[in-house]
Amino acid sequence: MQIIHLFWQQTSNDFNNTGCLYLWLEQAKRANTQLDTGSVEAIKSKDYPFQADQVSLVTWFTQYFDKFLPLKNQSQTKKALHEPGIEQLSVKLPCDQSGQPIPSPIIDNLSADIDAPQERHYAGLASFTLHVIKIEQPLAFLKALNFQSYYFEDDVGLADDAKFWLKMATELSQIIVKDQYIPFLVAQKIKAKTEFHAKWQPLSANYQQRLQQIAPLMPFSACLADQTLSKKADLVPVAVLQHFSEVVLNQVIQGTVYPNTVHKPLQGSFIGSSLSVEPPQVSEAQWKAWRVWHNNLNYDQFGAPFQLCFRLNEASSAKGTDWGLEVLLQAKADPSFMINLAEFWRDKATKHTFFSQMFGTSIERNLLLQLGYAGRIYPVLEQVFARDMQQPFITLSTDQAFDFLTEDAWALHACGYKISVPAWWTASGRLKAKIKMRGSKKTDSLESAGDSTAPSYLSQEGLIDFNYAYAIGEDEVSEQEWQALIESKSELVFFRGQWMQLDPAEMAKMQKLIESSQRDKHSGDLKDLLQIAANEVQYSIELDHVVNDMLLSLKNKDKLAIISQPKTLKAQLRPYQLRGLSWLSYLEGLGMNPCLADDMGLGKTMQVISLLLNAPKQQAALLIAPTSVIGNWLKELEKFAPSIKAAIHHGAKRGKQQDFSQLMADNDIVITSYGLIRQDKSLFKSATWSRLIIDEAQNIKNPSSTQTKIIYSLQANSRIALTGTPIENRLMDLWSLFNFLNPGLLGTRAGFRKEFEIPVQRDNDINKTRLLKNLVEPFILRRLKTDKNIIQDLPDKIEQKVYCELTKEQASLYQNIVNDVEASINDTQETNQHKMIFLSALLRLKQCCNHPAQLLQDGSEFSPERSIKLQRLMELASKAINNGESLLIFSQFKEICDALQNLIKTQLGFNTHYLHGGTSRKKREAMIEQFQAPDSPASIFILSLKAGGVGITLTKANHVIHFDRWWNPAVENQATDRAYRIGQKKTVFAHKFITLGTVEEKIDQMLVDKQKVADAIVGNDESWLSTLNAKSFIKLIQLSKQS
Amino acid sequence: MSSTLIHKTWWGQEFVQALEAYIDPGRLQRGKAYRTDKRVLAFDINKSEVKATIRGNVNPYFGVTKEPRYKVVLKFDQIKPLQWQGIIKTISGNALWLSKLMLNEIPSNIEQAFTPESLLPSSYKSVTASCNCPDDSNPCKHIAGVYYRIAAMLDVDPMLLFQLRGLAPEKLHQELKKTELGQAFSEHLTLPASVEMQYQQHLYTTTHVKQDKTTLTQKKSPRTVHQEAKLSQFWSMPVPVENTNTVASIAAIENQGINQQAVEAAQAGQNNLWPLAPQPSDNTMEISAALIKKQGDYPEFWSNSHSFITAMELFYSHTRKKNNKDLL
Repeated sequence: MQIIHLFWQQTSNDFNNTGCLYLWLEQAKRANTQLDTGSVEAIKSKDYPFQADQVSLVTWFTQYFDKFLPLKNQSQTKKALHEPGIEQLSVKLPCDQSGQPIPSPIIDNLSADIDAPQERHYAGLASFTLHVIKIEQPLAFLKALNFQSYYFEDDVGLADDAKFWLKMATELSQIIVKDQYIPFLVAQKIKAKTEFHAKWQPLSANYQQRLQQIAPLMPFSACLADQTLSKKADLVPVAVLQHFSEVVLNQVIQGTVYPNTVHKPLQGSFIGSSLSVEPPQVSEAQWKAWRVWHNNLNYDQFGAPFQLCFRLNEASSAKGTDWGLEVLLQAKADPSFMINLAEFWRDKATKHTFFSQMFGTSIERNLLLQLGYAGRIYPVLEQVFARDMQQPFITLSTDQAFDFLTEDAWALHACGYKISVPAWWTASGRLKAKIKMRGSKKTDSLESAGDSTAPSYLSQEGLIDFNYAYAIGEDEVSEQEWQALIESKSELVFFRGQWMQLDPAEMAKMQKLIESSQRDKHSGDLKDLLQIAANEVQYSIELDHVVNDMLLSLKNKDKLAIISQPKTLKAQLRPYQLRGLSWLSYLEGLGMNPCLADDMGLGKTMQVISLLLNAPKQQAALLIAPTSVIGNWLKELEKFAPSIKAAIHHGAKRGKQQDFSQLMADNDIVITSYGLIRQDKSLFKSATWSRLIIDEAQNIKNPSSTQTKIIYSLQANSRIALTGTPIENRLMDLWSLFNFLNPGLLGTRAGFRKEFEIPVQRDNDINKTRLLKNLVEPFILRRLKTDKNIIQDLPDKIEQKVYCELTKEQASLYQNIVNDVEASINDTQETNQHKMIFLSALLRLKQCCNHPAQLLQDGSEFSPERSIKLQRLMELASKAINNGESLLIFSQFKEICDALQNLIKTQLGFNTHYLHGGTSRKKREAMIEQFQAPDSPASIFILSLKAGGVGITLTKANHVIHFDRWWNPAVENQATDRAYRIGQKKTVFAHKFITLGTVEEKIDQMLVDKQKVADAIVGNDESWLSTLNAKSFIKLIQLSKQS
Repeated sequence: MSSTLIHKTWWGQEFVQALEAYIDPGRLQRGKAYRTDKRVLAFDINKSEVKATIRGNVNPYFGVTKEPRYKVVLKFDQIKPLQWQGIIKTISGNALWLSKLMLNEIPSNIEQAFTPESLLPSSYKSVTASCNCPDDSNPCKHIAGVYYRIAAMLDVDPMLLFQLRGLAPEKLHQELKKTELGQAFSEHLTLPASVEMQYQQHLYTTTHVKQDKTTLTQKKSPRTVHQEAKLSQFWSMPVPVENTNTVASIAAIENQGINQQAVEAAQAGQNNLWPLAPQPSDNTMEISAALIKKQGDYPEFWSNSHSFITAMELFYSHTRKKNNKDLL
């Protein structure tokens, strides 16, 4: 794991106190901290251990940001090293009481030393040397970083400080885009002489206000000061942001090449010298003149307690003779308070006190100044002064109104005046010339619509007739009307009772499109229709009721007709699951392929099982899932849909071609893992599947991988993708998913990159984002546990049994134990002794089910590969934490708790607490408090069942994992209740892990089947098990062969 | 020095036109050179009288062998106090004029208030001028130089004209205060227009401020932070901030309702959130140099004779275009 850090530093405290942005890479692996003892420089402060070494830093940087790599420093200043552009900086970073550095939370967790003898606590800052790369063009670099961050591997992340500077870059960009900076003239006293310097500086009340709000959010790691500077001075976060803005703004301007046409007019003023190296030749008088000018601009930005607002009221009729422009005073402190200028004069005497509260004491002076400024920008406003500012508004002609709307209003707005325009001029209310597209179902295939064997809309018989016409907004117009509009002289026309803007060029373009579409595109399939419908800017869609209902159902999932749950399903679907089933089934009927992306815990599996029951198919379906959940799929199918014949194609003994064909013929669904797709691709490709279902669809996010390509190529009548993680994050992942589901909808990979990926991810193109969203939305159903209408459907507590298979290693170890037990029992006739054998066997079997390392006690690696249960735990924990949800993990074994804590911290880097029998009371209280704190991140709490099962409240968690079972439901419930108790606002999920075919599964089944009996015989512990007779016990622990 | 001296303001131009009809092109041309600091050794305006000392040229032809100093005195015709009262009353009643005057601009139709008199000297005849140089033509080039200098001053301070026409500043205020809007103008005029020199230690705002020994024991300024104080904010932002990515923007569009709540929450003072970016406008019209336009063209520090605003518009739009690819 590598974490990209960026920090700003004021690099000089001289008069020219410029600054610099530096990048460094934090990582868990300790760098080779061999100090060059020959150099005094190197010993001065310690090399920071949690960072990439110089070579890997340069390699990494070059990989992504080649053109930003600074060249080797020619002058060989003392800090420059041999590597190109790498510098060493000594900065202060946090340390514990023994002087050991405390890295950022993720790295800290990853490099946690579990065996550390004592508690670490934060003790202050100490000096360390960082290898850094100097970023010479901060804005350009930050833009590149933002774009590149979509393509980082999963083990590269952005630190909060880097994210902070990305955000700041967008803030500063706005200043440059809006020209909100002015030339500055700085006077410096050198003994008796005065020297002047020219620079540029942001000047915007709004920007200043934003900086004030942003400054408290700055992580300290975003500004690591030079130590000579920080020794006797305190950091001022707002000043850091100002320093950054000023320095970078000036760097941008100095880095810009200006042609002579720009240079020349500025010559002869100090502004001209700001673009060159020459110092400005100015006098004190000129400085003072500049200062007055600056002060006036400053006063305008920051001084007046009110601002002016100009409101355009539309003309009442097509004649357009009575457009009205109103002037209003608006209080800055309370923008909802506005008053018309005429009204202000009228009420001035009577409401004097109130007005001075809202608008300040120098209202008239500010008013005259602001109106004067506005009049310079928009001379029509001088009419305000006629009749002593007593008229409620200025009357404008239609042409004037159009000019105001298209130009003057924006000029005034840019100068800080507030503008209010009629609703039809706003983006949402604007009438636009559009293409009316009529779609109707081809009549010959109408009869079969709605049938379960309905024709696919992607096939030939599913074609839709397209018909194009002219439209304004949603209203169709005749060709003559359209022509008349194009030819009308005015750009602002009164059309059917509403004013609208005409863009003849745009209309001519559309006309061409209509003509060519009428010629070439009479019909299309649902995909074509969806592509047209997604383009709301150009098209207005009108469809016959069949097609329209279909499109509406696709767009508005809530309006979908709800089907009843399949009778053969052995469970009760929750209302939202029924809606999900209806949606899956509807899309499948249309021949379109859906992605069910519900939040974890909402029961995607159940919805898919229902779909299989709802519309059974002749051919078998193929389900591809991660190895860790294969067993669970089979178990759930058996449990909730016993009528479905399911089989797993996995493991060393899986069938070859002949057996595989038989497997397909005998079963309704074949379950396999992603891992086998490549190995057995010829088997999977040899058939046409009824349904191809991929679970954890993020596994196909890389469109170039062989695995993904094989999955694309599998033949199936319909496809379904399941995922619990949001998929819109990286657009290429989204493309890959849709290339699986509905190939062609998002175009080719190269086309998609040009059309969407770059505009959306690099240029933040809002229109493209909207278009893309319209395109994919009909095919994705994502509901969150926090959605209002989901919460009401969810019970307060959901118990889930999580079934895992044994690995090969576990299975053989398990079998050995069973054989041992059988042998021991046969050797011993004394039933008293049996009891001891039973208890010892149970313990060993449980250990085996958890992990081979626990059973063997041989110090072998506690790796997820050796236990699917452990794999599953790691996956679940990652999902929950990434979803911002905390979880509790219970185990009855201290060695498991120890190992889990170590593994989760060092492999996943999550915040982890651990409570066991030896934890001191004080530490326990502290951990609980930390875990429960509202501002602490989502965390994992590992508890030993005995120490943490009672008494404490851990309601921040809404997932409880029982890693191994305690065969007494009351004890388990008590543990679950740590999270499920007063104060819990979310649904609590209790995940009970059970290994398939083992004693764990059988005892669980016993408890379910004979709940009443069990209650009677089950005591506080597991001793009841030992009262069984030898034969029953062997039967109980015998590994079932089915899986 | 350019041979054609264009005055930046219409009144500056009109002011010199009154002179130009009475002077031959040669003197006029030379006179322009006499308005500079190099030539003007002393310059003093007392009430409506302007006194200046001009450095002349050695001219053996006229018997001038040592560099001469010439005294120029210039006096404009006075408008009578009673008339002033009426004029100020009229001006005070005209909000448009006042607002323009506040922005250092003489309204184009202000002469209406002065009829039958006029604010700008209608001809050189309404000026009494003298110079002790050997040239006996009036105006001579020295008078012209002083006259041009006054014109340049009027460009940036048109209210000087009122004084030159006989209205003392205190009298102006006294009259202005009689009306509500006039009062506002008077208030504006009395704002300290002159500023003191300020010297800076650094070119840019400094990131750190010195710990003041006297304040060390007292409460720290809330603006500064002590980086040692808290580990929790060393590596992390108080709230996790989403990357500026597509999820956020798609989600924002998707959940208008939720977004609205976020806006409200932010407005309700939960200020530990990144302030929301202003709604992007779909009107992409560029307004160049909007900020500086508010102070009008030809600010005093701008000594060039071409437009300040045009020059800045060019600069800003070029800066924008050249850097657009690098802006987030």
